[in-house]
Amino acid sequence: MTSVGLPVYLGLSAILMTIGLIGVLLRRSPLTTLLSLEVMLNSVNLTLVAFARQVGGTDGQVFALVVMGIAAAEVVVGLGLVVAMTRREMVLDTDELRTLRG
Amino acid sequence: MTELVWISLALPLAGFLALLVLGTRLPARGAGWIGSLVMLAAFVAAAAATIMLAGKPEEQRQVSQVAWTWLQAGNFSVGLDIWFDELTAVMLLVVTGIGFLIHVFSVGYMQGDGQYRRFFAYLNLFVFSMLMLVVSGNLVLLLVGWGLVGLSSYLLIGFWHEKASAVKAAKKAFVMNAIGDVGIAVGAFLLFVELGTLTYGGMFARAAELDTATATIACLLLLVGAVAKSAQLPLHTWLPDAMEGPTPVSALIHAATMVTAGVYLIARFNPLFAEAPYALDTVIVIGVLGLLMAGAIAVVQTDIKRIIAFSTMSQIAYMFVGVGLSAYWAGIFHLFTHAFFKALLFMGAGLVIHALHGEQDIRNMGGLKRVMPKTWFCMLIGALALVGIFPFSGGFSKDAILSSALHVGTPLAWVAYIAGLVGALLTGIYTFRLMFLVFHGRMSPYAEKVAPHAVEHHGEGPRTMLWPVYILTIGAAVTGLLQIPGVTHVFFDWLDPIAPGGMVEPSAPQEWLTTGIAVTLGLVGIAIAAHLYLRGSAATDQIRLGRGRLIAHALERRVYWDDLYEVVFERPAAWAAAFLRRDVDGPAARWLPLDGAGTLTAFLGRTFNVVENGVVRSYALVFALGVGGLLLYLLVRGA
Repeated sequence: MTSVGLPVYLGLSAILMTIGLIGVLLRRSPLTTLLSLEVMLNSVNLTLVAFARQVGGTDGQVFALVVMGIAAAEVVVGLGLVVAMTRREMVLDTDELRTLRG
Repeated sequence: MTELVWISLALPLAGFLALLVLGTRLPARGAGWIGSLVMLAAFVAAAAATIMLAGKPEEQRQVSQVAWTWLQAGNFSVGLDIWFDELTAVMLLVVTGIGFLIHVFSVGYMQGDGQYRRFFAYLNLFVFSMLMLVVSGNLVLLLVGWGLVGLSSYLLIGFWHEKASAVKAAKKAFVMNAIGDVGIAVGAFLLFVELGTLTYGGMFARAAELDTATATIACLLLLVGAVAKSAQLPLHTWLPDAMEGPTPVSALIHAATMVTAGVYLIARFNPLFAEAPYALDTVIVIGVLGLLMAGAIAVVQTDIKRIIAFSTMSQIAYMFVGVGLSAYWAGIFHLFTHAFFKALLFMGAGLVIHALHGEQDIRNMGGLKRVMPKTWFCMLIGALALVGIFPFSGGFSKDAILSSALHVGTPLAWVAYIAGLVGALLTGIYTFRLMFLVFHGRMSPYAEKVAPHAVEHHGEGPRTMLWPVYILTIGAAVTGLLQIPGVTHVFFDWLDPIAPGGMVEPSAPQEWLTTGIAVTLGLVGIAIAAHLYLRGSAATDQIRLGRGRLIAHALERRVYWDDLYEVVFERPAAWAAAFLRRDVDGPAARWLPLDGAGTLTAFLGRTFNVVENGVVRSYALVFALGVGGLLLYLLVRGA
């Protein structure tokens, strides 16, 4: 099994991060926003694991696992909100959901 | 033995906490019985501790124990320690014993009051504070108890907080007591600077090192506290007002326990007072003036509880004379007997007030002997004990004080002796004026309407109210027999070790002579009261006989002390406040840009509010741009 170099991983990570960021900035559906956030988180995870493998330690892997755990929790809350909003027949548009503005 | 003292101290606190936590989860009656039972247990513990103390040889009867160090700063250290000796034992028994009876009485008296549980919680808190005060082994802890007593008496006096007058009276009592607290605190600072310790053992062992001037100042500062708590001149004005509280509170606080704290303090610090003869003379002077003034005022009051309140002030003044003469045993003896007969009189008054649905004006009473014979009999015993008629208790203790004055024989002691005898005459007049106007003569229309009906339905009171009164009646009748001149010596022998400098003890002939004169004067007083008040109905204006009008007016205004304080303190303070508001604050608010801070904040808020538009995507964009900018900066700088 041939191993690809660090630059490849970092490049992929950068691409994923950009996709996620664009998704968050352009899409107005909360569902897609959450999806894009996941993509961004996973790009960070990829970076962590890649660097950990380069350095030879396990800290990065552990940290990536923690991020996954947090991400799972965050998705639970986020999706829960989306479901609740759907049930109340609210408009699923982040630009319209601005009741809490300062 | 010390464990028992700790238990006795902890039980009322436990009762208070239990009532506080359980609250409305308890049935109302249950709260009353919990409060009473912890008091009974505390009394049993105190009695057992006293018996064990009595079993020890006399040299070993001063026990102290430190639970733990409470405050430590440099060489200043205060422990949570207790000091248990003969004096503590007497106070402990009085507080827990009389306190228990008053708790039981309250079970009946407060029945139907919506705030029943709160009342018992406060009562237990009060007893805990008082026990803390008497068992503490150092001055700081005593001050803690002292302050807690002030707090709980504030809570109890203002118990009926929907009554504006009660709230006012509570505040008055609190402020007056706070003045006393300051006196003791400053005295404690002085004593610590001079002696380097505040434990009783340490202070008393080194008391002789104080020079007279320092000792006098320290003792006078302690006296400020004693005077405030014991309602003596010139800080006495709170006591009559404090009668706004429920009657059991008056019996507990204003007869048996709290007001005697000042006497206890002086007796406790007798090794210091022995170094300060002028301070002791001051105590006598305060006592003499107080007993005459309060006795005279009591003659013209019309509120049944206020009469007893002024009587209390007068009797405490006797105790002051006793301790001021270095006859500490006599002062504490009077404290002991007074606790019985004064609690009895207050409770009897409580029964009367209860039967008359809250009426306290003696002009609306009269002729109640017919409908309330039991109450009449008990109060008669209490009244005879108060006047000091042989062989009831008050006579022995009061005459012990007076004959000590005869024994000392200095000019001031002679003044105290004469004043004390005049006071005995006044006591006879005001006590039996009360008895005659309430129980004898014709019934007033109000009493006619209410009392027979009430007694027919409920008897003279529920059993919980009557039994404590019976027990106190026995106490008021017989406790004097502990110290019959020339026959028994229980009290003197018991308290003798607390004063290392020795105590004044009059000879038996001196005592019998004094008793003879005092009893005669007391009987004369009763005769005067009978002459003035027994014949007609409840008419009190007879004291205002022509020439006596000025004096009567002065007495009715309570010798103008309240008016004096109003002029000296209240009006200037009100005037200064009005002046500051009108001429300082008002113009300043008009001319200074005082609202500048508000305007600036509002402006900044509006400016930055634009960013907070509520659109999540714009927040994300700003965030992303920020992170991007930061990364760019790091790249550029790194290059």
